[in-house]
Amino acid sequence: MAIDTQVAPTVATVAPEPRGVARRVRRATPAWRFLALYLVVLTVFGVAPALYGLYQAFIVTSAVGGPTFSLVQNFSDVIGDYRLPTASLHVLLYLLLWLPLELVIVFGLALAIDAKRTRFAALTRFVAYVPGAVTGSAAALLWLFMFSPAVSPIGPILSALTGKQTFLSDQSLPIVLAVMGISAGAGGWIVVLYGALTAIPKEIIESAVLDGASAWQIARLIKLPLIRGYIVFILVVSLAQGFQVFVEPTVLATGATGQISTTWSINQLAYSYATDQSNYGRAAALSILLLLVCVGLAVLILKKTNFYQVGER
Amino acid sequence: MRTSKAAIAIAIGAFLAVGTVGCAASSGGTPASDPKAPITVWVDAARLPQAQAYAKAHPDVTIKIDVISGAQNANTQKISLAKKAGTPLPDVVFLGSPDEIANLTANPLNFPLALNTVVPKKVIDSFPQGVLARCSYGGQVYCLGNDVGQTVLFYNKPLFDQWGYAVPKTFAEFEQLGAKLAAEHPGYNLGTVNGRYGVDAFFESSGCPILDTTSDTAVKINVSSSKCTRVGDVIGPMIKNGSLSTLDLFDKTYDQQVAQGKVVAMVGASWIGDFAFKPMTTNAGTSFDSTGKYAVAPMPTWSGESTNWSGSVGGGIWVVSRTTKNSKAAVAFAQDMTTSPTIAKAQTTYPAYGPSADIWLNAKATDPWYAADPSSVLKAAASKINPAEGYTRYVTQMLDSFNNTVIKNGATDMSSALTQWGQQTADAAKSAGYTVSK
Repeated sequence: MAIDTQVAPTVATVAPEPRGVARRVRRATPAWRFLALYLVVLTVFGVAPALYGLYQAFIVTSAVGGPTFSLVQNFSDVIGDYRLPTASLHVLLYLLLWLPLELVIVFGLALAIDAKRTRFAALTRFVAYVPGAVTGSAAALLWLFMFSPAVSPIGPILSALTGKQTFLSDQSLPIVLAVMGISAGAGGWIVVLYGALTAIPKEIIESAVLDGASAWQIARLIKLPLIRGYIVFILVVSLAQGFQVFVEPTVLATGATGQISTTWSINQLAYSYATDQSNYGRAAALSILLLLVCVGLAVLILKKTNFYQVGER
Repeated sequence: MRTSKAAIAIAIGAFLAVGTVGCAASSGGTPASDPKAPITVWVDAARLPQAQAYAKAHPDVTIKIDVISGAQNANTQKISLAKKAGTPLPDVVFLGSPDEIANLTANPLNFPLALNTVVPKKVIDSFPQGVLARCSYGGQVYCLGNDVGQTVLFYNKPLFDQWGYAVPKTFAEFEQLGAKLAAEHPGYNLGTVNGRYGVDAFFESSGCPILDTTSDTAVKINVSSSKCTRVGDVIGPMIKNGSLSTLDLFDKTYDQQVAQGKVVAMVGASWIGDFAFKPMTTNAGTSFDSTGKYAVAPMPTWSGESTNWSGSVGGGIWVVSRTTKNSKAAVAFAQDMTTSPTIAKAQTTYPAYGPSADIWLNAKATDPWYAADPSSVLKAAASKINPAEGYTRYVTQMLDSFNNTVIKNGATDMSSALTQWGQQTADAAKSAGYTVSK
């Protein structure tokens, strides 16, 4: 295989012993064979479209004349768009509501389940996990009914709360999405954190108890630091997910016609460029900006928390 | 590492390959007419039977029929992607969301064929002026109208008689009626102003320059014009006193109000009887049977106008591709879809083509759902669609902004809501590549 023969000399500089090289190549071959199919799929459906998107971001579609190439035009058009500040504010509000609340609920419930490992705890874990089975557009449809006063079982409460005939609006959407996000996402993370908590050696907890630590102290000073890595992981994954929020506001808008802007979130704005205006350049530019923000934040969080540091933290 | 270099090389290769395909999209040209070339037509599910019937009646032409979605911008996306991928474009397209024509005429699609050069003038002239004016840019007509949603005043005749209300002839009277209704019968309303129903029925009939296209890249927007402020003066107080609803016509909550007979009147499109009121009031469990209740009256007149202009909500159009290989067959198909008397009889909404409309109205005149024969009112309104508005590429943004300004804050501060609406719409128009003037 072409790739295998290319690997050999490179490795040779690291490990000069020829027999060792041969062994390494032999070891690497099945790995490459194993990866080959995935790499093809990754290239065709992942890398190539992403690179094409990057290329598109520099192609400007103008109202008159043919497409032109510009390094900055699409980016400056997108940043200057009158809808971007509003959409960014919407997403930011949603993240500020959803993330802290979800983390607190997930950690709190996982701790509670871990503290008393009874049959009730197992049931709680299961019950918390069930709403996670309904995700994405299906969840959006479900919540659409919950938040439409005319058909919702809690309709009278909603009407009383707002004093209006509709509850869904651009302004109430961060709350609605936070509720949806927690109900759909929390269960899965609770299971993950519970698993992490059970992996903490019994001896540590026992010695803490012997030293007279309270349950609260154990949770705060022992369990939390030990599973910090998992919480950081939840945070990074949720951040990326939250920044790209698209399906939920889109589906909710189809039910609450005329109440929710079609460009409520940043990703919807990118979609609008491509579908409303056939302006793929701007859509690509905004998507890249969004990617940069997500990657930037993830790197920041990982650095600040020493996520990849091996050994004692 | 050589491996990663190889991976990068492969990736770049793939990238370039995709890139070249992207650039290989075909460019427009003069319409070719090869009588043997097959044509592809895109129709929505509702128009599939008539297209199939046409294909059957014309065995000399090979017609491939694709069923497409009528959703907003669905066709723009499909054509845009086909063009990018270099796959063949359809020859004829039905647009259920006619605003899409503005996307199709512009860069990078440049799709439609100017029909005034290939369709006889007599046929073109038989469409109401306001219908084809919307898809005309620079003196070229790019569509044939399928149906039209001219606005009229629907009103509950028995209720008007019972409460002693007179049918408003002007919008000043309409506003007074709203105040009276709000005081005497709270909970009832005179229709809705949300989104396109509000913009099309009120601002468009008044000729408010918000979608006033002068070419496919230039538009006039001026919400401080009296043609806009006079609308604000009427709907502002009516939103405040609740006689106009701010819910969407098809919102579940509004649907219930229709089903309970709470809608006393509505300035609405010619199709709201058949497609909103009728289905909403014939569901099991509704307390109100609308049969024989609603009559249509001419549009009220705006202050300072001598004509009672109509707005237009929806209405499909037919578009022919300029890259068609068999323009003769494609144009003939589009023309038949809009002008055939057989299709006119089966049409569910008001046909745009004049002679077809007459055939359709003959049947509608005796529809027992209406409290009185609606035909003369509908026909008059179709010829009075205000030509001030055109199809644009920023209509979705304009409607979003309308709901966020005029609908949300209009009851408390209409004048600043209008200003904001105009500002955001101008921004949207610029973003969509239009030159904006007042």
